[in-house]
Amino acid sequence: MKGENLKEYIVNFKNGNYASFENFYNEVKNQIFYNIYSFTKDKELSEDLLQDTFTKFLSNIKNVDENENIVGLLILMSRNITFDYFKKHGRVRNFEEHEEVHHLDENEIDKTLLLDKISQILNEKELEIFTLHVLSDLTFEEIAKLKHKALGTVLWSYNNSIKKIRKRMGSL
Amino acid sequence: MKKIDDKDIVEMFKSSKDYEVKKDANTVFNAFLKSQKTEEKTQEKVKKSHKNYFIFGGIGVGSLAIAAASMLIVFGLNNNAENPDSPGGGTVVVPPNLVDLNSNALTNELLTFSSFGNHQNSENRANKILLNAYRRNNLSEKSFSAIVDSYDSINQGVLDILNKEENVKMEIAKEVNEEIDGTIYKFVDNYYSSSDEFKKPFMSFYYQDKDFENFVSSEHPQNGVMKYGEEYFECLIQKETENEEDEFEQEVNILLINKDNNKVTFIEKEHEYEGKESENTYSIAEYDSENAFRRDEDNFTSKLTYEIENEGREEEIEISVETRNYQCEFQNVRMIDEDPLTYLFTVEYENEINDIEVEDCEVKLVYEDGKRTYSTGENLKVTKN
Repeated sequence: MKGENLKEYIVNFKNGNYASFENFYNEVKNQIFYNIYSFTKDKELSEDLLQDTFTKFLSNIKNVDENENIVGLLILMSRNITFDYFKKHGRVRNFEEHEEVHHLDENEIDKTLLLDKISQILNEKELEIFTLHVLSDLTFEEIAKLKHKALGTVLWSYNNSIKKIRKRMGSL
Repeated sequence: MKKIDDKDIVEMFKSSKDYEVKKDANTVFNAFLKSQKTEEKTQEKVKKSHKNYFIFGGIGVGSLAIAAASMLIVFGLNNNAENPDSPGGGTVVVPPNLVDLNSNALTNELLTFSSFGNHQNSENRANKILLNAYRRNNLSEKSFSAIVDSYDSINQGVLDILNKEENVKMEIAKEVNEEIDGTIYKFVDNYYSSSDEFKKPFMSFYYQDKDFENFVSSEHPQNGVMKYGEEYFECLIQKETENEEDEFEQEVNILLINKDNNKVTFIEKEHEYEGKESENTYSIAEYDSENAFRRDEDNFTSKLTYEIENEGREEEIEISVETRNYQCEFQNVRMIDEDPLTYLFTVEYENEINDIEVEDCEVKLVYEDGKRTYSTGENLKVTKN
């Protein structure tokens, strides 16, 4: 199970053994990346903030409880780091229009492009919950805990997002 | 609970290619090694007080609790509207309810209360503003203390209620045929809280029928009786909604008449959003009697209003309290730093009883070590536990 794997990594890191860091990083990086990207819409910046997230995570490894939801913790850290960045530097850029999906080469269509399209439909908070569930694989309960919201609030927002996306699916 | 039908959309995302993150593990790990010497700052969160505060100016925490709780009824009836084929049987669902300070999920939410928007204000600029305000007002210790008491009790009072209402479950449309004051009510929605492990409803809403279409259209208000604790209130609810592709507006009014003392509580909630901007207003006003309310809506004994405007991640809050002898406005409440958690706001305050009048006063609020420190200018400082 993924949770158990991650637990083992954390135990090793806490003992100063980082030999398995590459495996750990490759296993979780995308989930964290998409969450950051949903805020920044900038791939390069998102990668920098992703690096900052892991740096901070490793720096605080002694305080991490290996029984915790590690992905949830990384996402929380990445959110804080992203918001700190915005506070200091302002928003990065406005969303840029993309060509319609069907005009693009199949190799060019990845999750970030779909996220860009979705961000035209959903507001920021809806986009965050959507990304956390669909791309970062958090359960609604985990999202509610992460965002200090009632579960019903999260479910309602997600349901609303799905309706909005479905209404505009032709343009995706 | 009704399952969300998202299979096609999730599949669309899952089947698309993953973005290839260019930074490999080596690069990231080397960056970590380099940063080892940097001192980490830890973030402190606000400790939410669970004391009961009596809000300065006469609006009791109890009244706010009733008002906030009554808004749950709007959601409950909405829930009924979505599930008309599932009456009674005591289905327990988890509804959206009172939300934290940084929420904008409002259509079915009851109180928007956001304090964590980011602004670009620097500490230096904030201090200059504070100093100028101090010089302009020549603020006395007594005045500042009164302002702090007012803001602290209002803010903590509402936070206390939000904490209390955070985990609510409801039992929808239980068929009971209960008689209250000679009238038989066919249905009841019961509301349970995690604070007593959902053992006993803290509130119940009795009503005659589930006339959803009329309720949603708002031309026919919903009538019922609300039981909160041991008190009974006649309850009248009106809701108006306008929903277009990128715009949404909703207005909810709830009138509560205490059956024992005839005092009236009138709650208004307005919510609008358009694109990435939203505006929400929540107010609760108290009246001595139904006659006083019907004669003139401005004839209240006390009124508390929250207004929150969101644009992207930026947020601005205004809070005002007004009674017959006292008026207070906290404007442009915004967070200026996360570590320690720091807010800035402007105060206008007038109190006829203790003869205090303050205009355009900037106050800084810092949350640190579980305490709240209010300061303005260079000399005035009050710390609350």
